Amino acid sequence: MPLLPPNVSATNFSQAVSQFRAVVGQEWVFTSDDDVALYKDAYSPFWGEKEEILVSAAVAPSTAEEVSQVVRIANTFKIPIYPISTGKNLGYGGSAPNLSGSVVLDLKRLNRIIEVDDKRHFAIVEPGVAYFDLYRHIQEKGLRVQADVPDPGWGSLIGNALDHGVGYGFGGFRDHFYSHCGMEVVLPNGDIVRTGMGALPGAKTWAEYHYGAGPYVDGLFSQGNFGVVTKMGFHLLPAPEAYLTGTVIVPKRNDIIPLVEGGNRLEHAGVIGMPEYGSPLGGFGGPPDPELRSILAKPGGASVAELEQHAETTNRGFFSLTVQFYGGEKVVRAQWEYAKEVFAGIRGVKFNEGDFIKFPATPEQLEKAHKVAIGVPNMSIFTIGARSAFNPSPTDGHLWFSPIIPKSGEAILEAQDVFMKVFRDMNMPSLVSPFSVPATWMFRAFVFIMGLPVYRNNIEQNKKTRELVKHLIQVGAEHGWGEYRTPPAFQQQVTDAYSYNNHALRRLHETLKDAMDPNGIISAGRYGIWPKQMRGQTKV
Amino acid sequence: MSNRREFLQLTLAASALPALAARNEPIDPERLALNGPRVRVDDVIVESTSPMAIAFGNEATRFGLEVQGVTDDVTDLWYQHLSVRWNRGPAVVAGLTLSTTLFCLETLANDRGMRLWFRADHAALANGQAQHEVSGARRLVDRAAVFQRDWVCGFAGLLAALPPWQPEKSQSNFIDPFPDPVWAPGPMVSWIIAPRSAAQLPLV
Repeated sequence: MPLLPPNVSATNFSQAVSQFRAVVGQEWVFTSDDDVALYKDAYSPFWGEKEEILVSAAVAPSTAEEVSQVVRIANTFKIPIYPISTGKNLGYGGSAPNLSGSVVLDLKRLNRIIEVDDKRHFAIVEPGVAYFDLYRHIQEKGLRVQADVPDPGWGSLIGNALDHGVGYGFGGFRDHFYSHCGMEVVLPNGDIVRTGMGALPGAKTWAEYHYGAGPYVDGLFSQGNFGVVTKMGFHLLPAPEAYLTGTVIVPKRNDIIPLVEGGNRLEHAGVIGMPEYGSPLGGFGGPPDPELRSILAKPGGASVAELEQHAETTNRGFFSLTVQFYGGEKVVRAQWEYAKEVFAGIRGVKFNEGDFIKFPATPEQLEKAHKVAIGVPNMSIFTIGARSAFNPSPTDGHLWFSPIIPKSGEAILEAQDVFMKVFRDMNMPSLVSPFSVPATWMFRAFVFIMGLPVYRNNIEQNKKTRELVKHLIQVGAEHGWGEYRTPPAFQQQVTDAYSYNNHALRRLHETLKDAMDPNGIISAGRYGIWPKQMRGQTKV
Repeated sequence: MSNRREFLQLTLAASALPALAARNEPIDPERLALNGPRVRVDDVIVESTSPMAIAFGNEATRFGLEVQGVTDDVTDLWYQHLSVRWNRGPAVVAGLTLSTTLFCLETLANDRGMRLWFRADHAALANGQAQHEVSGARRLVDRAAVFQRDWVCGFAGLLAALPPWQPEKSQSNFIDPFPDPVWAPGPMVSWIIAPRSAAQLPLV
């Protein structure tokens, strides 16, 4: 018996599918078991369990007009639909909806690059355009712009931005929703609306000026379920002439405080791109060496003095900050000299100059470079192994726990202590150490991100992981650290934590949802926003 | 343990193909013609850091197949080659790679109307034997049963004379009690990616 959407009869579903076929063509409606299986979350933390989200069908339109017709049909038959772009949101739900039985609205056939302007530095694209696609377009046309890219490069610009995805480049460009400008949206009633300057026929500034006139509604469509985005503009970085990195190394644990203060000052003033904090002793993604592991394994843990002593005797320093500069050669070299002055007051600080590239990069430079930092999409993230003390067996994927913490050294140290205690209390190998540092993808905050393993053949381990994540979410919320993004399995709990004034934000979302999507057909349950008729029920 | 030439001849006998020449000579794929059309394999991908995959790549080359190496990161293979090839239309690609490589390529292939039609996960067991967990189109899984004890040669031979298949699926689990010394531990997988519809299989 094929899976049906909830509260939809087989007859109505069959009629809806027939009408979908009439709109998009027979070959672009997928109902076979093999085809719908492709829309499972490849990194599902419920793989093989009854809670695993499954879809009933998928529909792949090729234009905004077809999307509008599909949405109207879904409304007629009250079919829950779940739009995806390229469906590559691995670690945050992939291509699977929040509600089992939904019909996936697969937008990858909307794959046109509408416009790229390298004098005013913007692009307008459809949801099926991946970072690889835009990069190829820019390279082939010789355009002097650079798109900010995430890891890996196969994702959709629109899909990534709408889930608040992030990259590695300069300033606000790497907050992909922040750097978007204007969108075209199919509303739940099938209406096609353009926001910002796009609402003014003939305006050429759709992808230049965000706001148009009147209330700014774009945010409703990010991590939301108020419409289907079919076009979006993005601000692009002018292609830099040169790129330079430098590393600042500090000897003591508490030096992270002035290190971050200096990094903030440089970044918020537009001097550096994404700051990359690390630890020569093994921070983000790096395991401690054997001698250090034995120090850490001592009963009661290691003291700060012991760790600092180890850092000194091994001449490695305790924390580091790699700074990145983009611009003319004279400018980046002067900026690096200025950056050294900013950090010079930290006792024992050391500086190492890193990569210098005068574009175009040579193949050797490109091979060595952190490609995403210079706008080159790639797949190398998949080469990073997932073996760790936490789980020595290879994994089938991961999910992310991504709490936002303040952009300060004090917050880093506090987060280390709090989360190390969580793992100790749960008697689990810790993913956090005294050298753990946050990711800096956000322009104006830190994310103290952790990757948890998922398996396709280990239900027990997946259950433990889910329990751990639930506990981490709770502990994070108790300290004012909410997640910026999370897989569907945890979206309800995460958004429950945003509870100011008796969940006033949730109530606002629900008011808007009821007005805009009374049948609740779009992305039911996304980030805790359920249709009225489903609130308070147990749902899969 | 029988030698590899004998195993390969058994494979060819089972598929009604003519006997091979000496193993160090290139093999004309036309001599491997089935009684009927064969599926054209456009590319064979091998993990360059795996002795097993390299040996397979050498065999595939001897069979006249186009072999591309990949070292874990599929970026260049995807961006420079496969994305261009697949944008022109469906094509059959096979390989012996790390499972992460297959995950990436399968996901990208699905976007372009192609599917994974054959998969064999290889593992070195603690007792020194080798295990192949095979799944996919029934006709291909049945063929794997014939060459299970000489995977490197047998899989290359299968690709060189790949029969068209129907959607019916099956799976099986084979044990090779005396695996070839080129085996190395690690999550290696053999696979075939081809158009979603059997009617779109490119035949020669």
